[in-house]
Amino acid sequence: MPITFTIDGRQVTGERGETVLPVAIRNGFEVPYFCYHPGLSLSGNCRMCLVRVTPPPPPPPKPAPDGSVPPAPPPPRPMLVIGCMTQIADGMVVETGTPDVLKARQGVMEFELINHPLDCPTCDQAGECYLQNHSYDHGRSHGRFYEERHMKHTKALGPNISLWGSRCIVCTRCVRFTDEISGTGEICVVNRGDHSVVDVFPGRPLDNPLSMCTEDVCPVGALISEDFKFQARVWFTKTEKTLCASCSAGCNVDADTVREGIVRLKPRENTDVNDWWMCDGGRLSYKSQPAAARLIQARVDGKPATRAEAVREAWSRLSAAGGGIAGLASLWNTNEELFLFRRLLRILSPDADLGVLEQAPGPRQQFKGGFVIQADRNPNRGGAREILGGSAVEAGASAVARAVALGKVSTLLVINAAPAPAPSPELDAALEKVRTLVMIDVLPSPLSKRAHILLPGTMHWEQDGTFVNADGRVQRIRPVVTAPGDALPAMDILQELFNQHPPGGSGLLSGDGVFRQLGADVAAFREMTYREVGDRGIPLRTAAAEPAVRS
Amino acid sequence: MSFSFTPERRAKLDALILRYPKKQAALLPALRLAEEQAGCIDFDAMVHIAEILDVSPARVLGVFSFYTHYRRPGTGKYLVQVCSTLPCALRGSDAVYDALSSELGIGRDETTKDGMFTLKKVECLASCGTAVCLQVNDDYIENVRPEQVPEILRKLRGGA
Repeated sequence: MPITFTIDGRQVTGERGETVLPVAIRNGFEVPYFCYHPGLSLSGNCRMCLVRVTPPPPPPPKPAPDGSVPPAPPPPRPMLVIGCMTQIADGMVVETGTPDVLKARQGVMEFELINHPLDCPTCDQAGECYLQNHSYDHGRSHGRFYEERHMKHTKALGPNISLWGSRCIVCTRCVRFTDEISGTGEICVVNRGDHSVVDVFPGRPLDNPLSMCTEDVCPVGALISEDFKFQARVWFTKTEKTLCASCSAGCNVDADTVREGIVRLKPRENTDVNDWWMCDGGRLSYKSQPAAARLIQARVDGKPATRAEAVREAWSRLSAAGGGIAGLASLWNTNEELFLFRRLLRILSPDADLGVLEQAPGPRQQFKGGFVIQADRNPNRGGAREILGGSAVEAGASAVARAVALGKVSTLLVINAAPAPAPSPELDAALEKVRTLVMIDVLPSPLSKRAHILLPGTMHWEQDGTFVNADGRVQRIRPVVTAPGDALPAMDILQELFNQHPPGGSGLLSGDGVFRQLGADVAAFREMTYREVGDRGIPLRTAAAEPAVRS
Repeated sequence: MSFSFTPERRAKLDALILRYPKKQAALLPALRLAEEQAGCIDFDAMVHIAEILDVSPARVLGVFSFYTHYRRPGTGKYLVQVCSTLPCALRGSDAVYDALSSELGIGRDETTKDGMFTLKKVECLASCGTAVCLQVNDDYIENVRPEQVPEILRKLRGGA
C-alpha cells in the first residue's frame, strides 16, 4: 500500500519503509545531503538533509463508556529531523524550505567547513563538489570560526586512491562502500571528534578491484583517483554516455573528454546493470589502446592507398572469390557491424563459413554487494550469438580455419575492433593458405600484418552502435572521441563495400538505420530502435514478448 | 612480534562472545583482554582480534582509536591520569597536574625517558566527592594536593 503525504504542499507517495529523502529526490525537491547514497545503507551522520516534519495528527479520542468525550490530544508539533532517516507516514507534512530549516542547514554547513582547508583551486573535486555546491546554495558567505584548523594526513590509501584527510567530512560513504559493496572492509574512521578522518589499517592498503568507486562516492575531494589527479578541471570536460567494453557485464559509463582525449570513465547509474559501480580494470581500460599505436592508413598489398581505392580493390577481390570465401568477426564488433558483415558474406556466398575472434576469458569475480566482473572479456557475445548464430560463436575461429585448411576457402574477410588475440596455431597455419585476406582492424597484430587489404577501423569509443551484455540486454555505445587518421567504423566500411555491389549505391545509413534493418531481420531485435534502447538499454526480445513500444 | 591470546584469555573471550547476539559485538572486551595480556594494544593484537571476531582489521583500528582509554604502545609502566573536570578543577587539579608535569619533566600525553610514567589529562573519573582524583593504572589516588605529588611518585618508583 503506497503511503501518501505532502512535501511543500504537494502530495507525493512512497512505499512503506521508505524515508523522506529518497521520496523528495524522486519528486524533484531539492534537499541537500552529503552522507546519503542510494546504493549504500543509511548513516544519517552529516545532518545536512534537515527538513521540517509535522507528524500526522493522532486519531480523535473515542467517547468514554459514560458518553463523555475526553479532551482531544494536542496537535503534533513540527520538528526538524534528517530526511534520510525519517520514515514516511500517511498524512505527514514535510517542509524543505522554511526559515528554521534554512537556518539549521546554514549551521550544519558552517560546521562542515570548520576544518576545511578551502584548497579548491588545487582540488580535483572542484566543480563537482558537494561542499562547494551546498556552500553556494545553503552556506554563509563567511565563517565565524577563528581558532586554528586541524590538519590531517595526506597519503596514498592504495595504488589507485589518495586521501586528502583535511578535506574529509567523515560522511563514511567510502567506509560503507568497502563494507557493503566490495566486502573488503579496508577503510575505517580513526580517532574521534574533529580529529576523526578515514584511514586504512597499516599494511592493508585499499587495493581491491572496485577501489576507485570510493572516489565516486566521496562527495568531497578527500578521496582522489590517482589516475585523474591533476589531469583536468571538470568544467572543461565533455561527457558522453557509453559503455565499458572490458567484459560482458556492459557497465554503463560516462566518458569525460578534454580536447578529443578521454580523461576518465565514471560509472553511470543503471540499477538493471551495474548499479552505481564499475571495476578499476574497466575504468582504466581507456588507457590500454594508445592512439599512437593505431592503424590509421589503408593499405593494399602492403602499399598505402586511399580508403576509396582499398574499398574498390577489396570488393573486386571479394567478389572474384566465388564460393571460396569465409569470414571472421570479433566479439568486440557491434550488432550493427555483425549484421552488415553477415549480410555481405551471404551475398558473396550463401554458405560461407562464419567464425569469431575473441579475447581470452579472465576470472569471474562477484562482490558482496552483488556486482560482478564477468569471466567473458568480450562485450558482445550475446549479440553475436543472435546474429551469427550460436554454433558459429561457440566454434570460434576453428570452423573457418578448418575450411581454409581443406582448401575450400581462398579469400577471408576479417573485421575486428579490439586488440586482436594471437591467432591459434591452426588458424595461423590456415592463414598461410589464404590467397586474399581483407581485414578491418584497429591495432597492429600478427593478423593485420598478413592482410592483403587493410582498412583501419575504429574502437568502441569512436563509433555508434549497440552491444548485448551477458544478461541479454541491448545497450548503446556512442562516439566519445573522433577516430584517428583514415580510420572509419567497420559499420561504414561494410556499407561502402556493400555499395560496390550492383546496382551500387552511395548512401550510408546511420547506426540507427542499420539497427532498424537488423530489427527487421533478427527476431531477438524485433522492431527495436535507438530511441527505445535509450540510455539504459532494453532486454532482447523473447519469442513470446511483444515490443513494449511500437515505432 | 606477533600476538595471540593465551589459552586462558582465549577461553575467556569465547565465553564473552556467547553473551552477545553477534560475535562482532565482543570487540570492546576483546581489546581489553589484549591490553591486559600485553600491557598495550598493538597492530598485531588488532589483526588477531579481527580474525577471531571475523571483522576487518580496519574496523578494529577504527573502534580502538575512537576510545582514548585503551593503552597505545609506548605507554609508560604507570599511566597517570589527572581528572580535569569541574569539581577537581575547583579543588586545584591544574596545580596537581603542573606539579606532576614539572616533577616528571614531561608534558601532556608524554612518557618519561625511562618508560616509567605517562601523563594524561582526562575528563571526569567519577570520584568528585574525593577531588582532586588521580588514576594510576587501575587505582585511584584521592584528595590529592600538589605538595603530595613527590611522595606519590617516590612510592610508585619504589614499588617498581
